[in-house]
Amino acid sequence: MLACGRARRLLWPDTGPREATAEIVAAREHVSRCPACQRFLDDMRRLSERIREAMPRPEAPVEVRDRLFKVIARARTDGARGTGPRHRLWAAGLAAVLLVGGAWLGLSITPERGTPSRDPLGAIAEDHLRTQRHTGLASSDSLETARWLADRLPFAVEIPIFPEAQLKGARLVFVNRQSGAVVDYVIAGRSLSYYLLPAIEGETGTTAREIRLASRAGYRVAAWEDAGFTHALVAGLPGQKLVELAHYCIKQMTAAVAAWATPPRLPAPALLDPRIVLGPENPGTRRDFHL
Amino acid sequence: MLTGHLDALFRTALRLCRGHEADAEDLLQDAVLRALDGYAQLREPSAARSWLFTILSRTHLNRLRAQRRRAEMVSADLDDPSFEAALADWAPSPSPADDVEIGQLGEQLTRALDGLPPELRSVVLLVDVEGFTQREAAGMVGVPEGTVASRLFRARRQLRATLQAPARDARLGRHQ
Repeated sequence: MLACGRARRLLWPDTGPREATAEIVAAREHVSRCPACQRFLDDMRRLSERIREAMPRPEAPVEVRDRLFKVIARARTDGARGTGPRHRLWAAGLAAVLLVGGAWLGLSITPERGTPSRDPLGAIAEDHLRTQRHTGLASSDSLETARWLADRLPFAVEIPIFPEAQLKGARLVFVNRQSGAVVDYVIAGRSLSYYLLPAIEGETGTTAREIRLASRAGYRVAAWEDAGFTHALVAGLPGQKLVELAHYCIKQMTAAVAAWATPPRLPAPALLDPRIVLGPENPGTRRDFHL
Repeated sequence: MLTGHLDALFRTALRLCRGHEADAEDLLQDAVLRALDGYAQLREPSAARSWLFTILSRTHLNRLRAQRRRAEMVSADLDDPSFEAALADWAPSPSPADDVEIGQLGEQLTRALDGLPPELRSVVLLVDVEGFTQREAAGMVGVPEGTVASRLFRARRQLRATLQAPARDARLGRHQ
């Protein structure tokens, strides 16, 4: 008769169907009659389950994600600059990674030709990663920033002012075949971006001013809709902090809109281009400018 | 591709580095850059998870090898007769009813896992925690399946003491 050690060696680990050699058949016969071997196999299965259940499963901290994706973005930039075969290979590999990543996120890397993305938040987060290469306005002046965006977009952008955040500038973004605004800040040494895009109905799944918190491409995205626009804050910050900033932003917008909705009682607008007036189709919610 | 696996890669890196977050981040960063560099090797996108863990495991091994000689790493592996003898010596565990609550175990298990030699720790993480088959784990750490089986057995034998101790303590407490 087969020894217990040999029988256990033959039948554990169970790697699925295998050829029924004479030794395997003998091992199975042995185990069917040996309570100790049955107990051994049961113990192995149970131990594995217990380890799997008991091991804590922490998520990667936001800070780690932030740093990691910055490293990737830097590698991508360095790869794109290279001219040798190794650099070209890097660029091809990175492009492929981005394409696969994009597919996973449900977004199109070439939105000009593609259909609207099913995941605008993913597209926003991806765009946030590209900020290092953007060309836009570098300014800490909210008036200058508002004017720069007003000259380039068919809608006006209220520049949110966040406590502890430093305004760095603005740029344009093209998501789902629509132009939008991005206002960039630095808060506690981290980049924070505020996005304003014409909403595509039903895409973000939020009701008016309901904040939706998500993680995309290693960043937190807090998004809400208001008066036909999608607003989003993107940063490598804890979700709770981002939601706080979103509430602050909404409160600020609401106050600004309320002020604009009653123009006779208001002082002259300080931050806006003189061409910007209250939009008739969304009274009290958004200012459109007339060209 | 990476985003969907980042949490699992991070926690595996964290345990491979015995809970040192800075080391885990370095390891993860190194592995991700290697993955970007070798992306062309990934034939099947559905195998991305296994591929990423392979790179993480190999990167970790390379780091270990830089710290100590390979001979020292594998010297503890059992040969077949020794492995069979160890299998035969297995003492049955207490009944499942005596097991302690899972919630109490996490921290103790983590500490016990950190105390395992790296080659045993990596197979437990890959097979028991992340659910890869022993065949997959063998490919990831670059050793024969039998070696993975031997390492996994030795690791589970050591971890079992941790899993049973709280239950034994609880039983003693009840009887006092």
